[in-house]
Amino acid sequence: MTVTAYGLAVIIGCCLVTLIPRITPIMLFSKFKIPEGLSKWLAHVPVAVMTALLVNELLIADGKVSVSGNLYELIAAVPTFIVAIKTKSPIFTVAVGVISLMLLRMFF
Amino acid sequence: MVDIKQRTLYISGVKDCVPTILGYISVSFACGVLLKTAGMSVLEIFLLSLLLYAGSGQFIVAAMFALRTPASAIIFTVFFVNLRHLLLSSSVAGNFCALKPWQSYLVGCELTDETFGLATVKSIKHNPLNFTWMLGVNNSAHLSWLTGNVLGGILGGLIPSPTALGLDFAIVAMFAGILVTQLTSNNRFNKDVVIIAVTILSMLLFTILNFSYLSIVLSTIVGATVGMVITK
Repeated sequence: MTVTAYGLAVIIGCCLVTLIPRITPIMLFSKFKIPEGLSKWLAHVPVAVMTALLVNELLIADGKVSVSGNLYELIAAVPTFIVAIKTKSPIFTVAVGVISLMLLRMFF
Repeated sequence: MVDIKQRTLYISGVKDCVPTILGYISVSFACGVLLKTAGMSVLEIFLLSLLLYAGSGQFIVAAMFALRTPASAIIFTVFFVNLRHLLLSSSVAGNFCALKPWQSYLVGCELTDETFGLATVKSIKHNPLNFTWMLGVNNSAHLSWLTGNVLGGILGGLIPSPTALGLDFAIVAMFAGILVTQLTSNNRFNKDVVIIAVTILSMLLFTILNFSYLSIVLSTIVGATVGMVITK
């Protein structure tokens, strides 16, 4: 149960460089009103960021664009998206996705 | 001391967070194993999970820590990987009303991609979002991540292949569900499709150009900007 100076430096440093971007905007915009133009731009961030995150998970592996490196995930994504569209239920979507990937990993 | 309404809201946040918790436990367990293998002690893993609490960042810490990379280089890299939180925090700020500074801090300090997604979906029907609800989401997500990390650090190589159950896919499935919900409730389907297409292309382009962790931030900026431009 030890903590090294190296470990502590990494932990505290990484904490600070992540904490500040996390809290500054929301603390700022709770005090001051978000400028109109910025607010309009921010309205599109959710769709854009979700897409970017999905691409990162499904089409990118080891810092490169790769289909073969994500093959099972891509295949499992098909029933996942279909269930998401048809049921709009997070529980079913997650269940179908997880089970699909589990089956793929088990049998192939 | 805490009234029923606040407790109900908090618990409702925890319930809404269940898919995220499932995904987090398996991913954070794997992360904990990697951190232990990289040379961190269980206490260090606990502190990292408590204070940094960032998936992609922690995986990168594991990789660089194993190589004994200087702390400054690790911190520098993590800064860029987590820069997208600036966008997430700015965006989620608009979903809340009249937050006191301590509340803003608590909403922001545990903000992640997944809890951000949950917040945007919840805000479709409940705008402004309730702070206590968000606290329930944040705390339960963080706790599950912390638990997974520490268990991974302790149990390490004892448990074979934590990813065999496919639980890590819960996060991808969640993202998919959130994106679909956004598309159906935004009422600007055609424009959203354009944003999606542009963002995908940007991600591929930036990745090929070796922008690595910055690809997500840059692609989001490009996608959102295109969205704003075509919504005139």
